[in-house]
Amino acid sequence: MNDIKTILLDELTTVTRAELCSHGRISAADLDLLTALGLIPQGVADDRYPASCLRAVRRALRLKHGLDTDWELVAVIMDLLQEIDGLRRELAGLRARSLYARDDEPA
Amino acid sequence: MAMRYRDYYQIMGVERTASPEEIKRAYRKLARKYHPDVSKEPRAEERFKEIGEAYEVLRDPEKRAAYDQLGNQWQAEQEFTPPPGWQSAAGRAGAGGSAYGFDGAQFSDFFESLFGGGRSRGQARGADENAHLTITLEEAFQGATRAVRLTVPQRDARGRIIPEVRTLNVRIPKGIQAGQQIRLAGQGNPGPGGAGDLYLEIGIAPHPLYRLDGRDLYITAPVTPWEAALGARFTVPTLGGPVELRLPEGSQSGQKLRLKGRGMPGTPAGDQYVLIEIVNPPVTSERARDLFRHMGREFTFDPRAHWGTV
Repeated sequence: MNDIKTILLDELTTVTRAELCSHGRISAADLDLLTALGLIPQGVADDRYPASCLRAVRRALRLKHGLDTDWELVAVIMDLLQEIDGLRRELAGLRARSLYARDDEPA
Repeated sequence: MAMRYRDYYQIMGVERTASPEEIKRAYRKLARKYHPDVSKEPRAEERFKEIGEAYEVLRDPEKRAAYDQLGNQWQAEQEFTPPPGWQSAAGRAGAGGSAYGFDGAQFSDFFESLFGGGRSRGQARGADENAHLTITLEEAFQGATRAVRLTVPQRDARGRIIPEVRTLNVRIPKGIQAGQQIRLAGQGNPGPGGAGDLYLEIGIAPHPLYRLDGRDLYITAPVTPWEAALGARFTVPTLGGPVELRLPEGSQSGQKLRLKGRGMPGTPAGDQYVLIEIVNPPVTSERARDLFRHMGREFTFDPRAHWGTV
């Protein structure tokens, strides 16, 4: 059994632009396009990005390839998925804060 | 392990005579249903990989023609070996492919026997893998090391793809949140340019006492009417250990008391909220009934006064 070092893809961990392209299997040009479409924030100091961007890049790429579509439509889908994710989080929060929430309700 | 025939037309739900437009339409319809980013279907990712592989072949006229050469006498899942002289046909169709499926997705050994090594040539990394790992709230709070068993495709000495069960010790950082991902470099599928990565998506199992909202924890504290009315002190469990709570006089059901910094670790740490729930004792004796009747007489209290006269 191997001990594996892990990287948490959160907002605090950062990756370089090159790492984001390499790990996300995306070209620098496509990364710029995702940035222009507002799906990825501009790189911050030293051109670093929050590691959570890797998740967004991979999701965008999966959608583009999986749905056989273009980046503009991917951006629309990503926006809607983010909104759904946000609503699910809000629903989970409301259930958590409810006195009468049931334990078997999905988060 | 015997190789199984894949009926790409059946997977796509189209006739063998389907036009490229019909195939694309069928693919988009299935992609809408099974794309793991939008689908809630069970086994969506597995199903979508099959669909991606089928589309990879049927969308490409050369690959489709080569596949069609196998004839239509094959049944899905029938044991399969490529016909003699197949190499030349595979050579015409061209190895690899472009973009369908995920993360350089590993195609089946059936695909590889017909069209060669996967979807990309040269020194490409192996495909990335995705997996889900559900941990307990306590593990998320404290951090943990979890042994994760994965079945990953490997090539044997003869170059065939065989499943291999691998156990990885994965360190879960404390304070991890549901839905966050952990990347394990080099733990995906093998490839000529090195192995792909493994992405573990974390889920947190429901807890019998606590409910989670971001980094904040919620717990319901049942209290008696007299504790709520007169105030009380009692011990509240938190994931970091029990703490004493002072319930103020005149507390009501639904009020919440905050235990600052007692939620999930993070920057900043979350809080734990204690939701007050007033629970009446069961009235099972005449003495108990008398006590409630006495309260009814003594209190000039109408909790529905704001309704007015209805």
